[in-house]
Amino acid sequence: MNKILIVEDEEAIANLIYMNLKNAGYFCEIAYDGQEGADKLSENHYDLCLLDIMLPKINGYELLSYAKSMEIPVIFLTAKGETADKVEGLRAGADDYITKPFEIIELLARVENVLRRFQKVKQTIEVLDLSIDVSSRTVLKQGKPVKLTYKEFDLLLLFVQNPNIALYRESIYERVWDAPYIGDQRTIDLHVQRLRRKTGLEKQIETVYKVGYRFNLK
Amino acid sequence: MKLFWKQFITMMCFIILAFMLFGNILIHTSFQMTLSRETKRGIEEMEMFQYALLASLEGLPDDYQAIELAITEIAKSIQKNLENPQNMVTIYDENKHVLYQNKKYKSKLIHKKQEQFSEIWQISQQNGKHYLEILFLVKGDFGTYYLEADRSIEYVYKEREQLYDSYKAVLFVISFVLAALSFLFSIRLTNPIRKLSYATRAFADGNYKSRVKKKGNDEVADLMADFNQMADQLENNIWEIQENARRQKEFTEAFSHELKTPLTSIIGYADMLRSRQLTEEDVTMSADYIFHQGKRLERLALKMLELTYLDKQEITLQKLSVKELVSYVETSTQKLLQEKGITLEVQVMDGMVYGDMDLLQSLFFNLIDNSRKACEKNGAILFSGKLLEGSYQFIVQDNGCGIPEEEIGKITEAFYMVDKSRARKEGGAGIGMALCQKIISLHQAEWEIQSKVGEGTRVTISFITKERQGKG
Repeated sequence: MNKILIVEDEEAIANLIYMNLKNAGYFCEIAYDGQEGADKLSENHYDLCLLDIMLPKINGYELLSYAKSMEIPVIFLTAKGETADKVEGLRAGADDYITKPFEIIELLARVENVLRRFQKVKQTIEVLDLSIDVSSRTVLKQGKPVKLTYKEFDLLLLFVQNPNIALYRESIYERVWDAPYIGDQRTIDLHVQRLRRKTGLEKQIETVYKVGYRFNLK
Repeated sequence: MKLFWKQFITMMCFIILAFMLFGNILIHTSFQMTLSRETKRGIEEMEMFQYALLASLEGLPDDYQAIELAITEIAKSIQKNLENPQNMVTIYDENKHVLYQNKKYKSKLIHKKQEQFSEIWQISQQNGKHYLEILFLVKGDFGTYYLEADRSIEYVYKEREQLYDSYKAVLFVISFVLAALSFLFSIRLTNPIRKLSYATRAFADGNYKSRVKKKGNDEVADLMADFNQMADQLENNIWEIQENARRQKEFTEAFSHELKTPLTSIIGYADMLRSRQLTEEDVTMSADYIFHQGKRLERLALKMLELTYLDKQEITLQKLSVKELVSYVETSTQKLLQEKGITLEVQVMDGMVYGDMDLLQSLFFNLIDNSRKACEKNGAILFSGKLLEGSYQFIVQDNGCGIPEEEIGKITEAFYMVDKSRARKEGGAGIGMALCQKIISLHQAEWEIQSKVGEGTRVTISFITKERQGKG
């Protein structure tokens, strides 16, 4: 289980991230200011640090370089949407950034991404009888390869990484097709149907009435 | 053409022209003087000749036949005694036939003679040489003769040539020296302009500290002083504009931060509610977060509205009773203060202030609310008012956490929070002091904030009474 430190002075936001990461199967801890963050970083080992930039006591940038010195990957959270701020954060050594406000699936995707990049998670995801290799983009079902298109693979990954979450069609479209959703429901439905058939996840990928789909994993 | 070259060339032209004119006049005058001296000398000499000849001729008997021969002999003897015996002397008879000539010389002067004359002279040129020709009339009982003396005055012309030559050489040298001097002078004269030009260019390139060092007292120095003054003013203006832009940017950033933070929670919890099956406990908690963050947004919106409203407002100052104002503030803050167990002590002298009731209520509400936020449980706030000569002074004092000295200046900037998490917990948006500042400046009042970390904060506000305002 990956251990993640959340450094965020807004209790509501810290708790929000905490609840969602916990649900996705991560072990999390929260620090409410820079000092507490630095203490926690030095006391425990973390696989990833989510860091707010505007922090009391110790500035987020300072904490960022501290975390980098311990070779802990850092995603910074920022309310500043300006490109210059993002660039500054990335140049300071952050591995990725999330701009507030964010959606939960975006948060999870970025966390997953960074962890995979630092090989903190396995390259293959084992779900039910499926074995998904993220780097080579191949899927094995009971040891036999399943042929998936590019979009189908992304779709499968999205479901697997967000278990038990109702995924809205617009969120799915925005993440997989990487474009604003303009009500192209049929495209998503078609892809989901074919994905279900190819992977044999007909029962697990459940249609949520008027919303989208949910990948049930008990 | 550069001013430097204009100045340099003009100066050189004038100087050389002046020198040439002056030299020419000098040489010409000197030449004329030498010439006239020479002429006079020639005439004087020949006058002697004339007298000697006359005297000799008059001594002869009246009927002397061989007069022409005698003239020749007399002339010869006189000639020997002359200062310059080599000068040419010619004697003509009445019919202009040459009687005597010591050297061969052909003059035309004899043909120019007028009817009545005793002597005439001219300067003529023969074989490229200058001669002074003088003709005398020698008249007596012995008859009429002409005596002509011719002498070379070439040396006068030679002298003039030499003068010209040496003058040219001197002028040449002087021109060089003057050119060098005038070059240096031009450099000196245009140097301040060049400096000014550099400074202006540096200023234009964005170095707003660029100034020139003023030297002397002339027009350029005045221009330099003017430039410096302009630069000071501009630097000030630019600084102000930059400062405004910085404040604007900070305001926008802070505002967007203040806006996005509650939005993040609202969107996040709502997203969670709609997409996950949460326990009842989690649903309540999420809804509670959404509610409170929504409230926070509402507060922010209201305060922002108030702030922008104040920006546009022109208030009418009315006579207000201090008692009425204070009692409103007391009741409106009562509940909040009680919740935290903070006591509010009010010691207000009765009096009148001029102002807008709503705004002043808002001002004191904000100040007391700030004190409340700064205080721990069981803190104490003192709200006092004193009528002074020409002004009314309010003091809001607390024994809360205080403000670090270096931050006092910034607390009136919108969204500035000394302790962000503390302000959050107390429900602050960081606009209260900015609002207070606006209200105070609208009332043309003055305020002072004194604070010590750990001991408390004291805000003193003085309202000038209308009567004094009228006088001032």
